[in-house]
Parts: sequence; structure tokens; C-alpha cells
Amino acid sequence: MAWWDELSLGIKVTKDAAAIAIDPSPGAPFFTVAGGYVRLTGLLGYCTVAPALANNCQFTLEPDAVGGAITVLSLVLDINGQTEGDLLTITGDPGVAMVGGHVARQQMMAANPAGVILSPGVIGFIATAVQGTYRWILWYKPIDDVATVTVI
Amino acid sequence: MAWWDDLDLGIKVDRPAEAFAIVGTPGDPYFTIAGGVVLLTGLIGIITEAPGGAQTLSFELSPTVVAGADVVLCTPTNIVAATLGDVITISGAPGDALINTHLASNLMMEDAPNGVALAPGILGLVATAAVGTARWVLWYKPADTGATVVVA
Repeated sequence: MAWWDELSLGIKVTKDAAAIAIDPSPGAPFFTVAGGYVRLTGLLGYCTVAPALANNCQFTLEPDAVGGAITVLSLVLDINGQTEGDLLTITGDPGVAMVGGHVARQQMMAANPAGVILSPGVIGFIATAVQGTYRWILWYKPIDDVATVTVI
Repeated sequence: MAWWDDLDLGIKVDRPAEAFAIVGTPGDPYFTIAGGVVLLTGLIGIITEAPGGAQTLSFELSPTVVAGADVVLCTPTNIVAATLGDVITISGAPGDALINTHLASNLMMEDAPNGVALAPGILGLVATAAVGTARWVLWYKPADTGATVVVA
């Protein structure tokens, strides 16, 4: 890990715009955490095609460790109502719903500015409908020296 | 984006002192966000001439995307008590009022230390009276490569 990986929100990982697909728990694989533990410092979705109907969405982590439990990174949010240019994020508190609405402004990790600790595994996106297209930006800082997050 | 743009609060943008004008929603254009999403990490106003009377201020974002909705960055505050050298700012929570009383010190983005994500658009100042003058300092970090904020 380079010293500059600790600057600001850390290392940025982008996921190109893709239509949301129906995926139950643990969700569509979006990002892989590998090599050790990381701190998730930001997770932002940018709507490029508006959902037109209800679509209940949620982020999860499915750990690599045998016996690991799938855990949620947020509670469910119906993203219907967002339009192109609107932003979607999480607060960092797993007991709070993902934050959306028809808004182009969002607080970043308001409940957990130091980041959410994640073990190696897969960050998944649960969705109940084929509604909406989003691109994503994730920021992280390695806790273990060789830990990484990559887009799937 | 240079690596040093990620240091501290990021890139600083200064808006020279200017008298407040009466402008309703979405406000007098103060800053332009272009080229992608940014993280707003600080926004302060420094009073250069006391309003001397009622003056209610708030900030809004008017997104560039046609379907976007104007959204508030804070709720309105009457800065009637502010005098020369006093400081205005926002907490980062859109439900909180603009922060200002007769104070020359203020907390910086106490509710959004990781910043507030903003889509491209115009940051405007809504003001209810043509009294008072302030200069402004804004800090941001590009979330998308190439995203900028400039004085409008």
C-alpha cells in the first residue's frame, strides 16, 4: 500500500453504467474485496436511466470465509422516483436504508465517515426489478497492506 | 486530477465579496459544477458588510440534467445578527439550517466530513433581501475524473 492510498477517501474504483438486474440475496456481484480487510469510505451510484417502477435495492457483503454470514451494508430502498442525474448512496450504518430520492446531492457516509470494515468477499447488489441503470463509484482504504477492491 | 487535489479538503475556489441580491429558488448562481460528480468538502461565507436587517439565506443545487430537481443543501437562516468578519457555513445535512449567528468561528461540515456528493449543476444562493455583503470559499474533490467547480 502506497502512502497516497491513505489520502482523502482512499482508492477509487469505478463500475460502468449497467442496467439493474433482478438478484436476490446476496445480490449481483459488483465488487470483490480480496487480500485482506478494507475500510469502505464511500459508495455512490449515479442514475443514468431512471427506474419507472418499484425496485427495492440493497447492498450486501458475502464473505469468502467458510461459515461467513452474508451481511447487509444498508437496509432496502425503493429507488423508484430517481431520474437521470440523481445520486444513490449508503450512510455506512447497516441499520439504515440506502439513501436515494429525486435528488442530485447526497451526504457521503454520514453515519460512518471513518469507513465500514469489510472482510474479503463480494459486495453484492440486491434488486427486485429490472428497473434503472446506474454507474457506481466506490472508495476504500486497505487495512491489510495488500487488500484490494476491484470491480466485477 | 493531481494527487494533491485529494489532500486536506481538496481544491479551493474563492468567490470575491459581493452584495447579496434578492433571488428566489434556485438562487443566484454562485458556483458551477461541470464534468462530473464532485464531493463538496467545505463552504464558508465571510461577512464583509453586516446586513443590518433581516436577510434569510440558503443554498440550492440546480442540476444540469433536464429531469433533475432543484435540491437544498441546507434550510434557510436569517443572518440578521451577523457583522463584519462573522462566518457562515453549512453542516452538510440538507435538513439543517445554514449556520450563522454573531460568530467568527464555525464547525466545518460537521454532518458530512466525507463531503456531500453533488451532480453537475449550479450552486445557487437564495436570498430574501438586498442587504449585506460576503465573500465565499468553497472546497471540493472531484469524484469523477475531470469534474470541476468554478465561480459562476
